[in-house]
Amino acid sequence: MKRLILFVSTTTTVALVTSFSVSRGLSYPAQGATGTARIIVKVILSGTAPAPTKVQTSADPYCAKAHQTDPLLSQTVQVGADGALIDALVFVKDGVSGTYPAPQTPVTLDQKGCVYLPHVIGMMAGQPLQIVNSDSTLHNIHPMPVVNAGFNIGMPIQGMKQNRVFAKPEAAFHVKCDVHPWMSAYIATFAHPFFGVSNGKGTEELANLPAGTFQLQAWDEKYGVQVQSVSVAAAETKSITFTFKG
Amino acid sequence: MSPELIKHVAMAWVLGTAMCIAPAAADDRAGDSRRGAEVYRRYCTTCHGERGDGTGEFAAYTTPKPRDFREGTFKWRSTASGSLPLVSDLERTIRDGVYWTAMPSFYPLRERARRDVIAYIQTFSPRWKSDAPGAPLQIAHEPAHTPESVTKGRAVYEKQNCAQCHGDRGTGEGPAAKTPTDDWGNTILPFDLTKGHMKGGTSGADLYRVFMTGLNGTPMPSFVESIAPDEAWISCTTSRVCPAVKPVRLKR
Repeated sequence: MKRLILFVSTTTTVALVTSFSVSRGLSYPAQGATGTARIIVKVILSGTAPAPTKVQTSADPYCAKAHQTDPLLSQTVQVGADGALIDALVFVKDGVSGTYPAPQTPVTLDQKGCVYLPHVIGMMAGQPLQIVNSDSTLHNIHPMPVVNAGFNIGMPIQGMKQNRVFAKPEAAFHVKCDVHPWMSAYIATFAHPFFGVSNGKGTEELANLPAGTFQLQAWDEKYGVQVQSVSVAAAETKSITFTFKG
Repeated sequence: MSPELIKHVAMAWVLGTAMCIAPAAADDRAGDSRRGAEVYRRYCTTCHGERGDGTGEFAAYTTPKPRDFREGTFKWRSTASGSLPLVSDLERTIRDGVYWTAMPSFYPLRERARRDVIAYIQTFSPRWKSDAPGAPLQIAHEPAHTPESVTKGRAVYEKQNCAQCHGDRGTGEGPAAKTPTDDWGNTILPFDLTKGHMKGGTSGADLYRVFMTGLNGTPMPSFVESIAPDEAWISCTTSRVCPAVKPVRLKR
């Protein structure tokens, strides 16, 4: 009985201190600010865009059949009208602080027609990633982050879904399928919601920003990184352009 | 007693009890890293390098390359894909070696020395301080091998598309066999399953573990999410493409 009393009193005393310090003694980072400012980002490629390269998919009859009439082109550089650079990641690199809650709505990464859709994903750290295999062939989803933990999951069944979470912010990291080496995607995770991926017109809008001065970064898997400083006031909309040289 | 104080006492009790019972299971503790440093210097540096970066004197002559311990990435695990291994997983690798590679068996070392060197290896990667290995795979009871299970195993092999890498006959010559690379860009070929002796161990459970948890850092994925345990057993140990996985008992 004495030992039991000693056990109870010891654990209670030690952990009471922990409990109080957790609830009262530590300060939490402030909630991140939002606002009414907007920045419209345009990403363009100057010069001559490289000609799209045709991907050889004959190693897997399923993939070959999927692209029998519509040849698969490399996603590494995708350029729209007037040099619009597609699938460039744009985001606030510096200028926001505090914590932002991660949405619990999953971002979907589909394996369809032996291609990753979308090719580039920006998401918040802690937000679920739903990985789908829409193909009737084996894909293995193999992200290779450095800060977060990677994994490699076989997805041999059509319609199979997997939910995963990257808990920490991390710069764009590669996702590959070892069975189909042309399959390639990139994921970046952020501590805030001010990011996006350039669309078919090479643009992306960063909305709900607080007023302030921000370091904006554009990242492209082939052409690298550019940074610009932008100041924006409340309710103001600013447009900036990143130009990568082809 | 105020409701708030009651709440804190309750929290304290839960926390305190957890702290008392939380330590790792007795069979999964690393040893003493200071003693392990001596073991490491004597037996491991020639391949894995003094700094654990996989660039020891013999590294240039080995395929696959010695593991770079700084990244905390380990192939042979009972834990989920991407996770750290248990100490018992590392101990098994050190004890039994990795067949078909330059990694020898250190069975003659005492278990304490093996666990000491694991403690030292854990000092190379910060992952050992920030991550937990997670729960180990529960290995279901191995079913009896029958002609029927061999036929079923073939069907599972096809359903899981194993032939894409390992080939229709299991010889490692599938259509995707020419291109795979490991996470460091080195060419890595799918294993020839007809060799009989597997890399990661000689028992059915060793093969089952690889199939279900995958091999971190390589193209071999985990299939634990897509296959039931009984199907996995059938595929692993009774398919005609995995014919000769026989237990081998090592003698001290």
